Amino acid sequence: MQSIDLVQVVVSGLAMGSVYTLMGMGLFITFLTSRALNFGQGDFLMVATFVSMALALAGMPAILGIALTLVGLAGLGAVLERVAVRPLGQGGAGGADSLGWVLTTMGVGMILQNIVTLVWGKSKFYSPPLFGKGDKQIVEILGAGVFLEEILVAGSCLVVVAVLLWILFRTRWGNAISAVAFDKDTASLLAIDVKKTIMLSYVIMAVLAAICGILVGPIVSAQAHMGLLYVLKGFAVVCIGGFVNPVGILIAGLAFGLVEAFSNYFDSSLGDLYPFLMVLGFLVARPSGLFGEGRMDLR
Amino acid sequence: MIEISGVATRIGKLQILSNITLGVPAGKLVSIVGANGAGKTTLLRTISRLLPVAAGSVRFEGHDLAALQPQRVAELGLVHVPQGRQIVPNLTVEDNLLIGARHVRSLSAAVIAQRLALEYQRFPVLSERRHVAGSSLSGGEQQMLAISRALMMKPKALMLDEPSLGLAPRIVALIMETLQALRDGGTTVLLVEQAAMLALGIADFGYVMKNGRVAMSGAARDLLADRMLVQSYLS
Amino acid sequence: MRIRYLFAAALVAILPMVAPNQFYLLLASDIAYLAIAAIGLNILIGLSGQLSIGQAGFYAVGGYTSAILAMKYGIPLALSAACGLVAGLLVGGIMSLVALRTRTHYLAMATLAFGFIVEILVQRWVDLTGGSMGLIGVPRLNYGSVADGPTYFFWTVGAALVLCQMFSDYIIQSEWGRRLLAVKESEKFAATIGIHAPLWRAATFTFAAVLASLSGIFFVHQSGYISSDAFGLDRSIQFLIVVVVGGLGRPYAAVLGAAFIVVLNQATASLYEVSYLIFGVIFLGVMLFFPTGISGLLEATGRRFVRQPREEQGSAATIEPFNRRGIDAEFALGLEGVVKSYAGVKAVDDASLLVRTGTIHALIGPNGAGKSTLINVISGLYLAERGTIRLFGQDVSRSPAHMRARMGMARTFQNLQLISGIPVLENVMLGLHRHKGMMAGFLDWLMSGRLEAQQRAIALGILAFFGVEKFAKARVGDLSYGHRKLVEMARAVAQQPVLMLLDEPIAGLNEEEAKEVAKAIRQLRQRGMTVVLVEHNMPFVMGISDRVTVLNYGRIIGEGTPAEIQNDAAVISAYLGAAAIDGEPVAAEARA
Repeated sequence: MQSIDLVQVVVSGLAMGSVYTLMGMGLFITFLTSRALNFGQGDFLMVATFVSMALALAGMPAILGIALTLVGLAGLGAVLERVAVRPLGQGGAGGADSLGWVLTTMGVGMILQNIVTLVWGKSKFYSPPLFGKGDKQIVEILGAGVFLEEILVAGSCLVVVAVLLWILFRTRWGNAISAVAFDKDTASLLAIDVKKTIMLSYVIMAVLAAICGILVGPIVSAQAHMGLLYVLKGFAVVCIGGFVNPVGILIAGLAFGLVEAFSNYFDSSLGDLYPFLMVLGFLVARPSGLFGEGRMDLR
Repeated sequence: MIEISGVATRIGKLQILSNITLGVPAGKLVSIVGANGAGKTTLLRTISRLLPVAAGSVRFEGHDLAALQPQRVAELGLVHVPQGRQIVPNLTVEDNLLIGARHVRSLSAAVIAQRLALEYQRFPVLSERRHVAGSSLSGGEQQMLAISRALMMKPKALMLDEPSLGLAPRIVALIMETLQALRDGGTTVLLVEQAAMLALGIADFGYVMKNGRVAMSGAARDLLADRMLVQSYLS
Repeated sequence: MRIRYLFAAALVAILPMVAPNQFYLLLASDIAYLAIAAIGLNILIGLSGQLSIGQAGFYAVGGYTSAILAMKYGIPLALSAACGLVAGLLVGGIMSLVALRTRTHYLAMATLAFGFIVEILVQRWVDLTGGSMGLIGVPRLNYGSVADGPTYFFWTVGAALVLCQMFSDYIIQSEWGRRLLAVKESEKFAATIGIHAPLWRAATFTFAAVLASLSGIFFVHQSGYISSDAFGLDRSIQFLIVVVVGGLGRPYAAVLGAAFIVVLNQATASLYEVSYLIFGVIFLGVMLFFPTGISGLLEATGRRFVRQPREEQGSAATIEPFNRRGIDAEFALGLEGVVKSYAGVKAVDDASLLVRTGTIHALIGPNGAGKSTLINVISGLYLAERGTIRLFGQDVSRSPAHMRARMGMARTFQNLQLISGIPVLENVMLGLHRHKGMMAGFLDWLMSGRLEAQQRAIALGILAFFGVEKFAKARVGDLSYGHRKLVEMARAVAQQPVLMLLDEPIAGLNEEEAKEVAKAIRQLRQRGMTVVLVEHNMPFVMGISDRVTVLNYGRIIGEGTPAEIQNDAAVISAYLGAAAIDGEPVAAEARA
């Protein structure tokens, strides 16, 4: 492997890995507060890709388009919580006992997919670049030509992760999420509105998915059923990181992206295989993730 | 300040409390004691509205609490320090301290900063460990943190559930002194304890609970002298 | 003989005659093999509580093994299908070991990854599988007749479905299903009634994998053409949807869900533009309004019109529920220097204790004294770090909980461990020892139509002993707390233990109920049982116990008869909290 290729592979691995990280963070945050995951989170990403692309093509300034997309998706996240998660009731939602949320969130995702095909049809789309001016702008790093877009995707995602960690650990709302995740009764004794906090976590999830959608638009082809792979890889990333620690998710996300990029480089036909083999092997070795801890199920 | 009359509480089909009537006057320290299983924790959880009031009325400064959600009760200034400290493990000591106060709408950032300094003064060990995760504190430090976290919310009345549980004697003494100092500073304190000597020793008034009812009540000093007290525990 | 399966078989037999054309047979076949895979998944998730999102992997393993062997190597269909099942068994067995390591979401992820791996292999290993271009000319399951092929195919797959449904019904109705539910409820709890949970989980996982393989085998031999597109994640999700829409854990979830999905697919085929929309709305609607799926919906309407059939009552009085196992050890339980700590704190510190056979021995102490920990160490849920535990004279310090349970130890739990979804009687039967092998039990169930009649009678007898036999058919959730406590004790008695551990037997009971429990415990002692109990209610403890041991801060601070304990200064001060400050009232110190 030449060093030029190495740089290119690392950059695109980091770009996709940081997107998986954000998807994983979204799953993690709703799991923290409600013990449910949004199976349609990939479809949120897809909707954001299409909406931001349409707004950009319609000639709207990028900043305004992005802002509108984020606000729209945030609203969608709140609606999802209210309509498809809250009515199922608390408790048991995380266990195999009541898998209701699998179907409700997936159902919302399917509705979104269908709406997008009705509006835009089934063909593949490419968003105009967000950052560069021309098509596929290339910059040089260590002598290697790398897509500017990819570097910026990775950079933006890392900034978002930093902001997210800041929100989670430094702001009152982030602290409220930690408290609700720890114990809902204790949280409410600390004057925290538990229901609002749960809804907030869905809004954050939706905004994260929207950011991913806006960012991946220019580097991959967009179609209505693109979301599934992202949510699954995000899920893999949370499982590797463990459902307890956002830093673990960051490490796992970047690692997953890099493994995927390298395995695609070395074996173009079976490239998708190795990351999942590693996930399987990893789960056998560490059944609850990097930072997970085995808890007794004694009641 | 806290008036409870004829309160009953059920958990599922199980009646835990029946016909509880008691009062906590402003500025006093009142202890509720009783063996485990007597219903003390359930009573506190009912007052702070973690459990529904099945019958009777619970009032705080004239507000009827039955219709409120727990976070509103806390905002009114009736703050409950739950059993087992319940420190949020992944947050730092300082974040644990701030978390409640930041959600009380009437407290400004300046007031919160001021109160934080005050709590660090009250328990200097918290100040030393302000940047470590809450889970790494010892049991005694966690109890101090739990009390300080509640005090950060500027409560008019504080309810504590078994703050002495599992702590070394020296720490227990410190906690009890703190509660007395709070009372002397004008905060109303409602203390629930299994350790009767301890709780009645510092209280103005006491109630003894047994099997979900109030079995005895009176001035703490009189209760301590009563032979019936030992009997209510061991027979 | 269970007559309904004859009806089902007859239905399968005549459907090809009455179906207007072969298209309906095709649909019915689709439903049948989809349901076969779903039956396995329904038991896996609904009963054993293991979530798999990778069943399509096993479906592909079975299907492709059989297809390739039959097509490329000319092996007869029956043999290639058998090889497919064996492949499913092997791969399922290996994956079941992975499943044992992981739980909940992590298990879901592991199975998902497995499904992905198989999907990618099937898609990319074109030389072998034909990839997404597919294999053309896979031998069809038509017994040599092209014209009547679909009929023969349907008969075969229909017969297989009836057999699978029979087996699934047996599992759900019999002790096997109850044991799986216990594992799902809590593996620790399952261990205390003698169930070796990992074995059960692995067996169920493998079983579900084999059924998915069987389903795949039917699929590949249906039309003669297969493509890798049919073996992907979509298929795994479809299986999941089938069981959830059908009503997870219900006996007919698989068939109802499969029929619903296949028919819905067909109905929306002409509306393909909005088919996702329709599916999405239906998933939302079903889960929000009928969380128990179609089964739940049917049960609710059924209850309105159909009277529940009355089952025969066992004759309670004639059966002696207590099978006295003779033991000659002087002490039923002996602890020597037992230590158990969490996070550096010694919850039990150097505890030594002897419990004489045939006595009632109470453990008391203030909150946090270590009583619950000690009970858990004795029952084997926690292993002691140091010290020896003897059960009937035998050293069991390193034995797991399920082995100790099988030696004759039973326990109840402070927070009650009962399975809320099944009737009271079956909760008690959970404690009974297994009486027959699986095949013998299956045949018995199939032929006699009366399931475990003797077991039921024994369990009813035990309920009668506790005076709660009238609730035998009620669900646990409908019982008062006190009655649930009695039911839990009945289950423990059903284990025919020699030593009973009762964790707070009368907490939450009213005085009447507490008296009944006291009476029952005394009768147990009279019948030779040894009882160790943890309880806070002092009148109860002092009235019933032969000996009392007092714990404080993890240490044993006193032991004796109730009268001795009541007058022990150390015990009194431990209870009233004075010990916390070495005997001096803290108030005096603090006020001074």
